[in-house]
Amino acid sequence: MASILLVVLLAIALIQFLRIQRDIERRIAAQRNTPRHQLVPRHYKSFTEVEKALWEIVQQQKRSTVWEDVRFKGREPEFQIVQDYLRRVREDFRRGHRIYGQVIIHSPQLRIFAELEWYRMKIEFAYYRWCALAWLRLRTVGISIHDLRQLTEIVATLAYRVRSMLQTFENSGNVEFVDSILKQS
Amino acid sequence: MHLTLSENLLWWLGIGLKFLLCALVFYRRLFRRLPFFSLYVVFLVVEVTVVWWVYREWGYRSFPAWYTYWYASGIVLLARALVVAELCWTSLGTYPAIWPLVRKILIIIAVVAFGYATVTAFRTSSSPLATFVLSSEQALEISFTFILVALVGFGARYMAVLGPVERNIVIGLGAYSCFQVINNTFMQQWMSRYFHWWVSMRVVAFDIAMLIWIVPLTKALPQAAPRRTLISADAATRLLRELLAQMREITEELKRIARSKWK
Repeated sequence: MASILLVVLLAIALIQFLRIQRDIERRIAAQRNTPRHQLVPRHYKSFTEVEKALWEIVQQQKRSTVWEDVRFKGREPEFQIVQDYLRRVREDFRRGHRIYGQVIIHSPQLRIFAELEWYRMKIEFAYYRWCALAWLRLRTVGISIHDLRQLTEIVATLAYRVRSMLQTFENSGNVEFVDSILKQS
Repeated sequence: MHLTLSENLLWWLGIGLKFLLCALVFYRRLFRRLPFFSLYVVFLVVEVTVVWWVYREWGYRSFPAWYTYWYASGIVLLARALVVAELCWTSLGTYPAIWPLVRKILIIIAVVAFGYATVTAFRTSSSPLATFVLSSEQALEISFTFILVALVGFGARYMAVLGPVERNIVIGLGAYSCFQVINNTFMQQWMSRYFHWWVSMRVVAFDIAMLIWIVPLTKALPQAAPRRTLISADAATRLLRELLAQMREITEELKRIARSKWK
């Protein structure tokens, strides 16, 4: 019976991975004419604007004066701003993650690939841990500005690494390679 | 022993699909892109033709029929293993860091599967040939499923997307292998009395796999994706080493800052 269970799990995984591959194909086809600057993570830079907008709303409502203690929950009107920001930052993470993967897969040596992948996994772990905590907090006390800052830091770290990679390749004259990476991710 | 009408129909449907698949593979010139898959399809046609001829000449229960069936099954199984390896090669062959590792893993899996089959065949009191083919099949079916899932999962993580033909081959092989593992488990535990039913289910599963392979071949093959822009291995090594050095430095710096915060 264990083999049947294993095969069922493998079949589910196969279907899921094939769906991801189909989504990748669709996305690559859809972003064929997307300007280059839109293909790299960029939304996380608007964190200060988001923080300012939230601060103004909280001030108007005359809520708690300690900014770090303010919590945002699903029912409040300003939560829409938080939600929009989260959606855009998640998109940034996915984009950065894909570009990073595209670059490291071209490593000529397994050791370099493994080390770069290790750095990627560490960021991935931090990101998914944040997602799990945020999911829990949304259902209990709500998300604080500190949580949003933490997520922004994680995505900014990934974006910085991706930018460094692309710049290193571009500065060495491999502009075509960078273009191909961006269009394929 | 006579086959029932439904078994006869299934048998003829399978033969028809094998010939159709083979014709389409050559009509679409798939052998240029996937030579081992094309060879496998040819083997399917040869197998069914030879087995049918031997059954007609010597009868279903004769020694020649028995030996022909098991040898042909073994050869087709080996060809299927080569198709799985070919899919890995077409998908991962362009990645110099990954392919040597994948090749080693595939060789180890093949050695373990055939080693297990050989040991089982030597230990058995019944026919070593049939036991060897069946044990190899059992070991390889689960390995094929693992390899195909890993291949598609790898493609999803690193954007190494399979083409439509390759994808359908993966789906067909994956579905058949999953079905075979389930089928073999049921057969061993509860259904040895229903051998005919087991064979029919196996034929149905394989017919479904062939239909999945036939679908993309009914249309002209899509142009092969343009080759990705690559940089030389030396340049890539140098640049990625630079990047790694930067990352290590930043990580150390961040650790240092974190430690100083707690002091």
